[in-house]
Amino acid sequence: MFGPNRVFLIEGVATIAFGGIIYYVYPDYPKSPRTSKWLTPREQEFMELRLTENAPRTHDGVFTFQEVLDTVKDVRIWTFMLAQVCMNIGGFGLTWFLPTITTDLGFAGLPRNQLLNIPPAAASILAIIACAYILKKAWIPRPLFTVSIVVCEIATYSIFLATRTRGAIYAACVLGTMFGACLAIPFWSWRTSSLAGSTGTAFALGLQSGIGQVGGVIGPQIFRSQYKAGGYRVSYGVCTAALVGCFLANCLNWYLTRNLEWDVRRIRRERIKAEREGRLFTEDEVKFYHERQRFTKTLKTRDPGDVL
Amino acid sequence: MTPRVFQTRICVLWGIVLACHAAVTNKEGLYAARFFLGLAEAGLFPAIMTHLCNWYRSDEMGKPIAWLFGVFNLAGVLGSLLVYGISFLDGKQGLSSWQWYVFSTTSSVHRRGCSLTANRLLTRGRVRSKQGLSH
Repeated sequence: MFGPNRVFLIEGVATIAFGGIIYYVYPDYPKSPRTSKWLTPREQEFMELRLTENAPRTHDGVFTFQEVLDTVKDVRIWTFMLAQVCMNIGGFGLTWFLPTITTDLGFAGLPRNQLLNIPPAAASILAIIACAYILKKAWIPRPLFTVSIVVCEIATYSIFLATRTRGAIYAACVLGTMFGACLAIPFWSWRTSSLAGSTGTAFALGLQSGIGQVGGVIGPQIFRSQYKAGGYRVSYGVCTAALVGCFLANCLNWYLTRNLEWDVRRIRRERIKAEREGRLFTEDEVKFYHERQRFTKTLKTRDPGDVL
Repeated sequence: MTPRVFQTRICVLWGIVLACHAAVTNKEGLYAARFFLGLAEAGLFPAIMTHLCNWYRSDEMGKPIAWLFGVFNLAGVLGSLLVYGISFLDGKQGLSSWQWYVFSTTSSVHRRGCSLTANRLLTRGRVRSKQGLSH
């Protein structure tokens, strides 16, 4: 009666029906005709005016080949991609095989091990909320935030390498899933600051996510059954190495976006200050095409007088 | 193609491919079905991210992205409970572990769906809460 085939059919039909809901409720661009149903023309205008100069806009061309070229030539697409591939390899094994791992460790059989998936997801949700709050306040640079979480994740993976105690392994699963999940919040927020134009933004994100799936292809190969006897130590060794790669790639990303991210955070803080005074900060804006040079090539901070 | 049409396309094709999983009887069929599932789904995440760049500044991107990933995880919790519950209804009749495995991973469709709605509600709330926009 409730066999898997029936479940797939029910899920499929429910998803198609959900497509209908999306067709009615999903928003378009800020200045699309449909948006005028829920925003006044003045609000629509404002939504685009408040974006930075590099942001995609409603009336950009459908496809601008020059933006594709600019994206491919920008070294940052490749370094961010490298960070993502490493991140996916490191984290993929954990999230994908959490049920398998908990079953193999003899915690609980199917389907009870499904319940063991809940604490990691719950911890992730709490950590994600905390990340959003920290980002909102702009207390620390986003690259530093991202790199710090990667370090925490590496520390968690050392538990997998060090011990086979069931409780410790499961605790590491919870922590590892949590850090892996909340890493995405500062990482993707940071990624958006160095994208430009409608085609450029879509192309860069599509390319990066697409190649990032390589991590998903490699991930399952790392957790081969032949490593089961060794308690998957080899697998976790490879995952840890990938996370170290993610750490290094993100350090490089930080260097490549240091001026831009400094500018983004500076404006963010000005906006927070203005908001506290009950006004909108409009005096200054992030410069994308001619970056402000906050740091020299040696990373020495410049005199603020030269910068502004 | 506007974001709305694009996301509708993804959802409908995804549903069709998911329903086709019901006809799978062997490993090869499963691989084929999974291939098309990936094909239908691939554009979802980059499209949402690009679309968010149309509405949010980079410095305020934390909140919508947190919603997106938060709902993914929330659906993970609900999905686990769902699989757990269905297992009792099923009476464990002939469900091998790979079937459970496939089922619990493909049910990610719910999490994606929920996040779409969450983002729309969030966008609307954000715009409305902007001060000094009375007209």
